[in-house]
Amino acid sequence: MEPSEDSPTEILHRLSGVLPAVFFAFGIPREKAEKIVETALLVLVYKKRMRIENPERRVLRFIIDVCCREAAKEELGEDPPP
Amino acid sequence: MKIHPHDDVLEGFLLSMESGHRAVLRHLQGCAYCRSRLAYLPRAAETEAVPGVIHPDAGTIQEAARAVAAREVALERERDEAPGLFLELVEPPAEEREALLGRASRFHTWGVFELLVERSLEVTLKDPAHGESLGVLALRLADHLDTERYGAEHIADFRARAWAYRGNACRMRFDFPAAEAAFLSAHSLLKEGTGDGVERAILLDLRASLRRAQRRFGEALRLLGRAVVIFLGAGEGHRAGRSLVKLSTVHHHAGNPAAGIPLLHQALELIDPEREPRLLLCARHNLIFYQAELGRFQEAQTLYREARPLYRSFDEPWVQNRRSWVRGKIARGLGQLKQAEARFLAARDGFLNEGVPYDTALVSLELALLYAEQGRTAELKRLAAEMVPVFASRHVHREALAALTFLRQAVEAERASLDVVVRVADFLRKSEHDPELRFEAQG
Repeated sequence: MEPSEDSPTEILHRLSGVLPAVFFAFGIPREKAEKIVETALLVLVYKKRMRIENPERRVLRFIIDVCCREAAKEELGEDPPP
Repeated sequence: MKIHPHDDVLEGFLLSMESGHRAVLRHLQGCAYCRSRLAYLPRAAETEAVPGVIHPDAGTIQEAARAVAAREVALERERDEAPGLFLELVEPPAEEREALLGRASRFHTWGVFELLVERSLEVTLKDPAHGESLGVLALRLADHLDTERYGAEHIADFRARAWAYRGNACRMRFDFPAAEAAFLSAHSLLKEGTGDGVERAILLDLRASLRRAQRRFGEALRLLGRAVVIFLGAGEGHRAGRSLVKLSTVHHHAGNPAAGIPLLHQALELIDPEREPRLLLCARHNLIFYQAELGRFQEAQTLYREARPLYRSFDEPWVQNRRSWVRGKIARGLGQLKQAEARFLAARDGFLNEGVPYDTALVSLELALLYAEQGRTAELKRLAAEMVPVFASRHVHREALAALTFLRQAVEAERASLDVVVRVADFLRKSEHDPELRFEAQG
């Protein structure tokens, strides 16, 4: 069975071009990036009934927002990188 | 990069950048030297780690995607079962529901939880107290949800939503302190949630309704502005459209309908008519209403004619009474006084049947203005005499009743100038959302 256009896998595939740049730009380490991606996809799954208009953009926005917060925390020295 | 990113993706990427980073990006676009430096600047250890994070072929991501897909299948099953369980849960009397919820684990699913949260909002529109009781039940259910299974942060997001909807129900019952407390709870819970900006925007939008009701218009506008930006950034155009419609109503409540008009035009471009035709109707109706309030009756008439099929598709008193009202306003403005009177009377009778005291009062005052302008004192006296007992028998704020009584006395004494009618109408419009407002007999 082919995944539907907006399945998490498909969305992830479509974003595969831009996400490395996002994580790199914010200096997010690999393990944290994996967790952020998984949470972003789960948000879609848990909130499916909200009729998400543009899942790809929603996931990207979510990831960027989390990255911004992580970077801000790092700047404040609350959560220094390992 | 093997695939050229979509416009939305690029836009999202640009929006995420601080101005300093955007300046660097602009420089890179025009500077081949710096672009070439990029190829060797990042250290190997850093660059290698990143592509693996999101490459679809990478084992870790496949695993994450599989886990997400498995979760989706499980949730779909719960969603299929939820409507039956929901009915079973809400069938018994309200006081027995919590006990039933506590002892029967079959209800402790995400499917039932999200259905309760959704229904609490839907029901609130018609019956705030019932909506709130469903929200309370949802919050009780959340206490029983398995955090290992669903994830504490996802539960926190929905608990926050349940509190936000509960706050909205309290606001609709005019219990503003309870609404404030509920919104504060929602805000705290969001800190334990996933960090989903859309969830925050939903809360901002609902808090703005409270601020509007409290006549704290500046704060309402600021909250809604933030909500619109977040919704747009997340690609939620329809939700942004809804917040824009609300923004326009804040301007209207603040006595500045002109400021609401461009917002409504913007909202109309964003609203998905198939998703929420009622929202489309609200936006178009408000646009017509505001144009009429601003004395632009020809524009209002043109817009009304365009919206006629949409009005017809909502054959229900709530819509048709408001339609009659706005048609009356347009007719009055265009000097079609008989038609205006007929429309206002139809709207007034409709609102009376609907049991909506404030709108009945406001449309009655439009009628009063019409009579006063034409010097029809007998009709004005009859109208004023009919209004007071109707409002005395309903849950109308004491001050609003005082204003109507003042008008009746002025009419009976034949001292009711147009100014008096306008002042009472203005007071009623404001007091609908502000029970504390006091009517001053002397302007």
